[in-house]
Amino acid sequence: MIRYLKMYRSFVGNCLIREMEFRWHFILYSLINLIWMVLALMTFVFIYGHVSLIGSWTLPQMLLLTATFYFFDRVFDTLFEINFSRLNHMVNQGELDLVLTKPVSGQFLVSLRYFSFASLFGAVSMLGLIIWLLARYFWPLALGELLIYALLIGLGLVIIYSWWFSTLLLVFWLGNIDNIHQLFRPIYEVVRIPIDITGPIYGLVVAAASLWLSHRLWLFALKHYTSASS
Amino acid sequence: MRKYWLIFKLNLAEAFVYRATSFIWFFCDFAPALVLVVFWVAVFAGKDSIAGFSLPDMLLYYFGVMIISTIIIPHPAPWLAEQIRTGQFAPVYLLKPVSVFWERLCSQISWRLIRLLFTVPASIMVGWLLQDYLGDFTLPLNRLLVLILALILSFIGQLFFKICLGLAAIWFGDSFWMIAFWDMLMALLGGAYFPLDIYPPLVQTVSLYLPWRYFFYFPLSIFLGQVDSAGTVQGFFWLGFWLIVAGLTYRLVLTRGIKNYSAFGG
Repeated sequence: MIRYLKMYRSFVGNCLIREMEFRWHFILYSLINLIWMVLALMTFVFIYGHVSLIGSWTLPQMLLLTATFYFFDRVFDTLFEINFSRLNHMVNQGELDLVLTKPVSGQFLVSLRYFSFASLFGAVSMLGLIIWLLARYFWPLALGELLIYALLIGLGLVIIYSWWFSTLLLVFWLGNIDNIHQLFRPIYEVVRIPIDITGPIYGLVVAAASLWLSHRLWLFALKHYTSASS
Repeated sequence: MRKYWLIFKLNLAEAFVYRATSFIWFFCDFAPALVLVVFWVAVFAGKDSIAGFSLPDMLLYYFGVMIISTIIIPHPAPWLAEQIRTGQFAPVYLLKPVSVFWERLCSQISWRLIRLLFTVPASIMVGWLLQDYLGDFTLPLNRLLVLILALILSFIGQLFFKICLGLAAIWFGDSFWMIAFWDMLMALLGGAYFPLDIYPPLVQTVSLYLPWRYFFYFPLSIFLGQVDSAGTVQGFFWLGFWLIVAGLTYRLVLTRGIKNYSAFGG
């Protein structure tokens, strides 16, 4: 485990150096990311100018849900999406050979090799907004409620990672699909709409089962990998 | 023109081979509007009208968004930026007698034709599911012809601008942030995300003088039958204006870009 943490630290350091080589792109992309999220949130303010409730959701609740969605989305992009966009190329160009011959988990390397600092900026901004919304509209909150909120976000990340990763494995059978990493995104965007929320215990079971299943699918997919290099 | 016909056929064959890729792009354009349909059904619970829209109006609006966003939003910029970044721009465009615009136009049309394989049945299915709400909707021939003209002009105008965004990689190394900015404005000021009527008057007034409204909201309004004759003429005037601006911007960016372009490696 410590070996993996050390490795991950060096991956992050390496990505930071790379990001700073294109620092204007990093700054402008981060800024536009932020503007997009703020405008999307503002749109709800305009809609609530016409209605007082959507379902049973008030404006502060809807803003908190949307801010949580964007926080979740940017954390996901920071950790995983940047890596997912590369898997198709690795499989079809034979670069996966290099990953599989290393004495570490192949799933770890293809899922976490790169780290997106541009998306991290958006995640931090949304975290600030969530804290402000909680303090402004929902305070006081019990510590237990905050911990369950954080735990559910963590479990949600594991579930979405597992399902999204599983959709990528189609490239082992279907060949070159350079936008395969986009397939799951429209499905996952459904979570921005209010639905009944499951409890943390149920979420824990689903998260663990999803992660286990995605790993089994990865191992199964590797059996069908025939390398593309000479 | 024969070479562009060949480019079109090559791209059509490629799009057919990689139809899974085409399906995913279709799904990414089509599905978000479906999510918003569910959202608006919840918003309208207990309300008859919001910003002048009834629930059937709103569902019809997003039905239009689903169809139009899969047809007329070209995506030439990421590929062009990638060609510039990897040094492939010169072998493809500078050393061969090929126009960037015509080559990208052929490519985008061919990929969109394959996309119709998914758009048509999906639209019929969604239309059938929403038939209780869309019952009175008709698209007479004269409005259909006006709509087709608006879609063609919008597609060409967007293509010019988006090629410029891709070419911006010559100066910036990577223009992904500009592409994201354009897409953001198209979603918000073009009306692809929410109808412009729900925004405050100031935002609506600003949108009147910017291209995104005419590239998306205007064809959508024709589709929905929400513009009268005077509005149609005015809309086409602005669409034509932005088309000319886009074409001139393209010429300027391409000329300056070629002078600035440099590539390394053997």
